[in-house]
Amino acid sequence: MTVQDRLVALAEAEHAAAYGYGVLGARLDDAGRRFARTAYDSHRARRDQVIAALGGNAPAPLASYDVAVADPTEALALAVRIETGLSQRWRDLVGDTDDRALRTLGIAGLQETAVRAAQWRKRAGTSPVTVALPGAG
Amino acid sequence: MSTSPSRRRLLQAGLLAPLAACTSSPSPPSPRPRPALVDPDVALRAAAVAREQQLIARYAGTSSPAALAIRAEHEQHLLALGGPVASPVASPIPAAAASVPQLVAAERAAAAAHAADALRASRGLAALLASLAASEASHPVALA
Repeated sequence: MTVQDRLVALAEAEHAAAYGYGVLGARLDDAGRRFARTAYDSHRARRDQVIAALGGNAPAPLASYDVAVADPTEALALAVRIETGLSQRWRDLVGDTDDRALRTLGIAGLQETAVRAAQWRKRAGTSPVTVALPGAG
Repeated sequence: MSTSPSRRRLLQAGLLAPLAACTSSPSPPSPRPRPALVDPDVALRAAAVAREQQLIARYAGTSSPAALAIRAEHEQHLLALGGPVASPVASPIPAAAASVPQLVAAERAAAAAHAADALRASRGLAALLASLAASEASHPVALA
């Protein structure tokens, strides 16, 4: 894939992440909802950076996404899936570019998503909380 | 131009030989030693291996499930880097277990160093170092 393809995939994934957090946050307690809101804001900020890197020629978000969250357990599981999915896309970007600015962006995105995934696993009581190689699939 | 008697004598004495060599027809230049091509990834990978080994040593003496899981991840990092997975050198004096704040500081320092080196590495190594940086950055979550 080209770097352009990677950035488009990231923009699409960040759109989906923002939507997903909007859905899952409603199933969490107050503390979880506040954390979901912070994650939502972070994904929107990264999405804007990716769109800027694409020169504004980014895909628009879909009208809706296939997200079903029945309870807090499913909400926490979805949050972990969102973050681990984004981790893969950020790592892919790092491995497909020599551009220093894009690598810096990819490294930061990968770190953020790995940390948030760990935080969500901890809230869910999942063990282990971390993974050895975030984004490696 | 004729050579003066005094200059001829100096030439005969060999005193101007080096100068004469400079003014004669040039000989082919001797090949200069070329600097050996060095793969920058070699040093970056070695630095990452050293960081992981230092982190593993930091966890010596810790026994909490979180610390043991993190130590196992650092050993996986070493494998991914192609480095040796060595047990800590046995010491007659048991090392005092590092405190959680010390471990957190060590993890964050390693994350920053991996991330900085990811900017200079080849693409393949950059992706691995970025993953290692992300892993170290997430470890304080488990330690807290």
